[in-house]
Amino acid sequence: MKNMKKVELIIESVYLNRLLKIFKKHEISGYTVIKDIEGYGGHGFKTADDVSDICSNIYVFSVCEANKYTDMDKDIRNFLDMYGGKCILSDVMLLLGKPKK
Amino acid sequence: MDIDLILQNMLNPPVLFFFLGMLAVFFKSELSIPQPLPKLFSLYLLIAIGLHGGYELSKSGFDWYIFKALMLAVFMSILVPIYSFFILKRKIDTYNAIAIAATFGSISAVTFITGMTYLQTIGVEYGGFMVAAMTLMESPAIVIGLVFAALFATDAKNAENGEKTDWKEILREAFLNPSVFLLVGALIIGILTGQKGWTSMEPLFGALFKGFLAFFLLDMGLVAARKIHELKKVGFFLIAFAIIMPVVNASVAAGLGFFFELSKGDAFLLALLSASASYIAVPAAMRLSVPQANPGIYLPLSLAVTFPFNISLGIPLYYFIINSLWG
Repeated sequence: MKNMKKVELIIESVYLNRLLKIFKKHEISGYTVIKDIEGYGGHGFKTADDVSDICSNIYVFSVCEANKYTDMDKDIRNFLDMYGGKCILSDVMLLLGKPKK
Repeated sequence: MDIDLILQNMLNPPVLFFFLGMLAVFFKSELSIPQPLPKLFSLYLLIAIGLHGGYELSKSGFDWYIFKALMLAVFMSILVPIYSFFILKRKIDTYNAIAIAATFGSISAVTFITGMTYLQTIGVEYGGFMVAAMTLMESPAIVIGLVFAALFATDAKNAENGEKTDWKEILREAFLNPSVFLLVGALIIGILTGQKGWTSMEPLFGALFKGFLAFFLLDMGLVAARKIHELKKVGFFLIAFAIIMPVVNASVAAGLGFFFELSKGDAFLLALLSASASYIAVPAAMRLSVPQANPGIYLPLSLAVTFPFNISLGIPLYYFIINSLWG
């Protein structure tokens, strides 16, 4: 088991590439993207069946070492300030296969 | 204006399906089209008009008349966002003025397609090369929007965050966005394969065209009706702008078409393209380049006001203007 940070972001899909650039800059080597998500928030109910993807939201999550997130924190805050969205951080344990005897 | 012109347009099945979609939302029906399908319909329509336009172009060849029409199309797509911006800037903030001007400077492919089916219904001929005109009119408004953003929108927030405008990303969005890419590709395939190619593709991309258009417009009706409540925040000036401006743009284009001796059908399509507003390519590019502009304003204006206006009353109105000029 390893102590890690889980970073979850809900952002507008058009800004995905800009977020991934931040991940790349801080050497976040893995992430998951879920497209066409629906939900209710400050801007009302967002549906996933828009004719274009302009207003649709996207969910991105990654699990990284805590110090990597600390380095990335300022860039993520700037991103949210500029483009909006939500970021949820949590301390998680990462299970790495069978424990060694 | 002759009521017959309006009826001929409104009683076109795809247009009626658009209003059926809107009614479904107003009456709180559960009607919906599964998500990937509207995207498939949109791809289908782009391929169909690209292929057909290319085939027509392969028949007619490229001459001075076509060059003139294409140049007029480019001219209109540069002119409209410029004067729209300066009108808007008198009433609203710079960011939203840029985004709305760019949105109205570009075009809506589905409005163009609906106009084409209208011409077919009333038996007026038009040149297949107008598809190329439509493609050329997609991107200039985005570039004008970027230039205005660089000139008039100095953003303290951007500077604070050390964010620089990523021109490469935005220009890629302007010229290589999926609609432009697919349209240009289908147009070239249509030119290269000519009569033989079109005959082999016609059963899917010709015969079924109106059916797919009806499906797509049904979805557009659902989406447009869902956006209508957002208009409460937009205000009277912008709603009036979204109706009056298309008529002004169409009149300018009709005048130019008349002066440069375009045929009735081609001038009508040029007027309709100038009157239409983008709801896919430009809003996406504006979201990237002018994030301070509110998509809750420019998107409902284009989708819930201008698009329904154009496909219901705009098409017969522009045809009436053209008819009065050409006689």
